[in-house]
Amino acid sequence: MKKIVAAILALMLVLSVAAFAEGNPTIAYVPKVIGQPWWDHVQQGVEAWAADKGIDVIYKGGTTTDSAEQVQIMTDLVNQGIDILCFSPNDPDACEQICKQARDKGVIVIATEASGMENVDFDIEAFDEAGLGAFLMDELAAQMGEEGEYITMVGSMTMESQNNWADAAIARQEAAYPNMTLVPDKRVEDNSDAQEAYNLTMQLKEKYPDLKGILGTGSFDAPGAARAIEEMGLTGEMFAISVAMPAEVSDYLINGTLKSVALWDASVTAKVQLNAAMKLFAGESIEDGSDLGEEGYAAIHIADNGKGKNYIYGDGYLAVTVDNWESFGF
Amino acid sequence: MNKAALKRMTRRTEFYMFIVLILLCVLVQIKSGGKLIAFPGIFTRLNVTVLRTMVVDGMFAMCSLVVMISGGFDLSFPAIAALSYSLTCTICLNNGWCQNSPVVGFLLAAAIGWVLGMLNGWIISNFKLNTMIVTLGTQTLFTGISMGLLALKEITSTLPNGFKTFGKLYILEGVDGKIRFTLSAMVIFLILLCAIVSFILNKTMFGRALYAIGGNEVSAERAGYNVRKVKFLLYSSVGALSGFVGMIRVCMESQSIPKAMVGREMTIIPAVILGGASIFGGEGTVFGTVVAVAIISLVSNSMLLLGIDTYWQQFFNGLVILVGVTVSALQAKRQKQ
Repeated sequence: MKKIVAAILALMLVLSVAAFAEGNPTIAYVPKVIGQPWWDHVQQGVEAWAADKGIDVIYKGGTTTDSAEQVQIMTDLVNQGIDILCFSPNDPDACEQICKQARDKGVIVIATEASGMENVDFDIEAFDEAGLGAFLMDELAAQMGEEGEYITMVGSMTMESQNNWADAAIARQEAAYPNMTLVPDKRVEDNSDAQEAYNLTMQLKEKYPDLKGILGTGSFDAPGAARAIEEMGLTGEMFAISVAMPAEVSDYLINGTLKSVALWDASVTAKVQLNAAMKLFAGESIEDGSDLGEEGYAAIHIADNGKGKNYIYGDGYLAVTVDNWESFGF
Repeated sequence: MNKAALKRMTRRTEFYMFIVLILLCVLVQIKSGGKLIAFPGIFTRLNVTVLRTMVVDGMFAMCSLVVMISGGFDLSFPAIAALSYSLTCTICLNNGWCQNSPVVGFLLAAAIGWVLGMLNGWIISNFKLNTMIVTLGTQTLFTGISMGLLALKEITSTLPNGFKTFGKLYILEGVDGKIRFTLSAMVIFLILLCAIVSFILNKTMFGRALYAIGGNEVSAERAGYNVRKVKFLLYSSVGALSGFVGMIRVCMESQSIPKAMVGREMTIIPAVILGGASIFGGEGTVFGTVVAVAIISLVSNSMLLLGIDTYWQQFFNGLVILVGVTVSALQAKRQKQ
């Protein structure tokens, strides 16, 4: 019996060495959760990447966004012996310990949506706040013909990131589109409610008859504003944009009320995580301007997270239009 | 008009609220440069928007009014509405119903609301518990069923076409420069409901029973009213109505969001109190409630136009609650004396 076990173990060792010799690392991807549209989409991306590269990826996540469950899954994987761990933490602080253990064992650790983490090789973000704000403004400006009055809309004046996007959009307008003007009210909040966004749009058009554009940020802004624009019969004359889920604005994209909304594709970010890990695994370095092999990440930016650690961000936001909304599947 | 009638009128909260509404209309009309009422066409972009906002709030206020007249508080009607419409939309979507006509959806939502309302009615009439506590409990229960147990999802673009087209119906269309405006056909439902509730309250035994129970439950029972039966009927009908109004909201907004109604009771109930309904029961009119809803709707839709910061809207809502409750309490005190 002992001999058989020993033989099997020896065989496994040989096989694993053989596998190693082929140069394929053992990779695990741990999402925040499984069984949700957003993460199903990420899973499809990871599977497509695996099929494309001919490398297996263990995709394993919890059924809830419970941090303890996620850390347990990561611990099991690290103990099994993996070479690369890519993940998106539910609670970055709670993952620091297991990431440290993994890195001590020589595992390459790549996170996303956790730019403040310490014990990772890199964290990858789809975009930086200023970049997204400028992107929203560029899209809106193109629709408005680079001239006319506009206003910014946020879910709430207390939402830090949305307000940062709006600030960056205004800065972009001031620098690049001199014929556009921000109306005196500057910014309105819709309490993350499409109905309120609709009411605000009606009121704004009443107050500023020449208002031509609404630069929204939150995912309720564009759908609500679009309903008002459509009802006022101003399709093609007044424009709105914000970050939004494709399926929620498809009606307005199809009938032309909205020309585009902004979004980042999390499945692409996941592929970039894997690409970055492969690069490090092959002994290459990642620097400012490196190409991580996906659209929006051809020349990545590296920034300091203030904890002596670098994180990477791409220009990973993209415009969802009538032509591509169906391809997202959510 | 004789002196006594005049005195009676000036005692009523509705009278003052109506004056406030008129003054507010004049203020908005002047400050906005004549945007509230057009002559001789009457309708403008602003007033059709105000009327539009009044539809759902006004109909919910009717639900709240009848309960308050009977001396109760219903905190659960938004939760009933949300569960009814979310479940209805999900069922219709999964079965491909309501692609042309929304009727089945409305019946289904009212039926679900009716069942949920019966639970309220059964607990309240059988165990004689404080209505606020009971409906606070059922509110949480219904929200839990919708979000946890059934895990109902948001339905936006995929909402059945019958609902979308129904919500876009209008009875009047106008043009302001290049901008088109329409008066939503849903206003008809508000007017109809107000007429029905007014009729029930003033002309039927059921209406008299509500005022009697709200005035003094013990005396009402002694006077021969079947308090248990009346309460059961009241809460179950309010449930059915909530489901119906919820569907109106879905159609008007072209979306079914399960958590969209959370906390709505906190803007509706103050409006009803502001409109002259007593927090101690036995008092309240349809007219007063409609006036109060109109005030709130007018204010919220003209804040930006008047250059008032949106933060002030919350301040105003707080003020409404405070003034409404104070006036209501003072009146009750005066009546006791």
